[in-house]
Amino acid sequence: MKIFIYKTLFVFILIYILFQLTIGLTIKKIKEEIYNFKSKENIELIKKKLRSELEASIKKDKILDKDDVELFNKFLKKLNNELQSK
Amino acid sequence: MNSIKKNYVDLVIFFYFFVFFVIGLITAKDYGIHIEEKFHRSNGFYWLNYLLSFTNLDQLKDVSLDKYNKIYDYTLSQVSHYNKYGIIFDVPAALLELLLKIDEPKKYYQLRHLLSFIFFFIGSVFFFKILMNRFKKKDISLIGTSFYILSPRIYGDSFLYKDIIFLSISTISIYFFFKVIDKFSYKNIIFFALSASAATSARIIGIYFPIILVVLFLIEILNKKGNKEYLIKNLLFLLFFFFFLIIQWPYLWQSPFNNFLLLFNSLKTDLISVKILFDEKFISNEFMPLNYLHTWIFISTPPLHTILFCLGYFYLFKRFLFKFLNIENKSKFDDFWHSKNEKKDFTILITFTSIFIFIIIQNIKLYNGWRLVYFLNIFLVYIITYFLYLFFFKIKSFKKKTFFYLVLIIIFSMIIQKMIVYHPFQSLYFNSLITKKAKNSYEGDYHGLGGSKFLFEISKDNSEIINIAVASHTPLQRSKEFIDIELGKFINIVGQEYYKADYIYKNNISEVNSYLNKKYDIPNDFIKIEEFIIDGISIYEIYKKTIK
Repeated sequence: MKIFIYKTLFVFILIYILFQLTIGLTIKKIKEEIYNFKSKENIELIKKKLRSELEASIKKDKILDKDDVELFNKFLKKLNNELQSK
Repeated sequence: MNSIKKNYVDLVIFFYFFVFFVIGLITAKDYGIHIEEKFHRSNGFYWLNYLLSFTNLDQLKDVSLDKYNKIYDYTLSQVSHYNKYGIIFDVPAALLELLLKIDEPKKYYQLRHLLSFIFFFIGSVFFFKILMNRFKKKDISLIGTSFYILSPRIYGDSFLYKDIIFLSISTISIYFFFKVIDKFSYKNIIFFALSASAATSARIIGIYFPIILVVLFLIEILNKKGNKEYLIKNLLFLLFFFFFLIIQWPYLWQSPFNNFLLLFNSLKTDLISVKILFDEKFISNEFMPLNYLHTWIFISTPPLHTILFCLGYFYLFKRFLFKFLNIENKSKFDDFWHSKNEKKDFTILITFTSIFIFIIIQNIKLYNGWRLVYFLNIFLVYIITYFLYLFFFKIKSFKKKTFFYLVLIIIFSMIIQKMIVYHPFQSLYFNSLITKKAKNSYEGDYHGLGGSKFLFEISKDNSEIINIAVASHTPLQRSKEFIDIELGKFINIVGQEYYKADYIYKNNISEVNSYLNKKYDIPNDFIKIEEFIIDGISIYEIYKKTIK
């Protein structure tokens, strides 16, 4: 009986530690990723990146490709028609 | 002849502690103010007012209330918002400040540093008694105590209370734990309950002591060793423990059970969430890396401590692992120990290992190195001493023994020399196994001790107002209290309003990721004029405005 109790306790503790070091650790990493993604610093970083991308595109001669220009044109015209028809 | 030798050894031990005490007394005044001292002073007067409200000491009440109301700082948390701290140090310090009529800020902080050291000194004496109780050898016990004292970070913090108070009370608790193992008498039970409850009120993790006692009891029950009297004494211990805990912790008075449970919730919710610099990266302490604790212990403890600990832990673990593997259903002895000394070793091993694993697996929030768990030093040094005990036991030759004693004395002298180099910044010690670059890729002066030194130096030859900004999480305005009031009048701390500043104080303490968040970046119109470095560690940098 005594050995059974020791073995049960030992196995239980071992499973708990293994769980924490495998699944627990993965959950912790996912939580950490989400935490870092939502962090103020990361949002600031994204904003900064957006600003620099916008600034870089202003400096370019053309922002859009020829195909994209056609696509946007068609889309805007369609949108405009639908809005005017109502 | 033996009696002369005994007297001589006792004299050496007395002289050892006497010198240690005198050095502490003399140097206590050198330590600057740390950033949380103001809160603890406030905590002391908050609870002193509460205690005095039950008395007729009106004059004392008025002075105490007046002092409490005057403690203000725009970054200071109010005690009424978080009143869960124990009072074991803060209230006696506040009371002494009142009785000795100390009104000068520098003096009342120095009084606390001195008191803190006295706590540590008493803890060290008890540690010696623990080792004597276990190993029965004065030379080994004295060497072990030297390892306990000569851990630079621990020694440096011994003047800055916070974590050292818990370390010292825990040492006293373990001593009485050992006395309980020796003799489960009512006297020992009461002393152990008293010290363990004091430890718990200082830090909730002190609850571990009664838990370990209960674990030992359960192991004995499994061996059918525990009888009815043993059970009654264990229950009596728990009763005394909670009785003393409530008595000495006014926070529990209004609703003992609920408030006690709230403490466990507060472990998750009230511990601050900050970014900490660890191995060159700013990490959130919400997600502690698995290697955080042992990395910190390894880099901030003298190498000899680490090596001997690893050896000691290996032998101790091996011994109990074999015992575990060889447990029989029916045995004359207990499963894990055959003697009281083995039971003590088992207690130390199981406590240390379980706390260590618990901290790592439960992702307990730590910050500022390993200072929150400095109490582990008791276990580390006990295990070191255990190894030395085995080592010297195996050496029969007197010459060889003397040689190894000499080696130890030389290494201790080298550690002391390092501690002198660091003085009074021993709490920022890194060992010489890591490079200068690596030393600066971990949190530096989190106590803000450098602040007092800088403010004193900049203000001493000055007669006009200086505006100082702070490019770090350190509340520099609190260090102002540690310089003379007259000198302090010329200093104006402007926080992060750099445009107002003549100088900027910077260290590597940041609650945000400084690589991404630029709030602590130095503006271009400032140039670095000074850097205070100890042993390759940059304590602080000073920048001066170039264009007015």
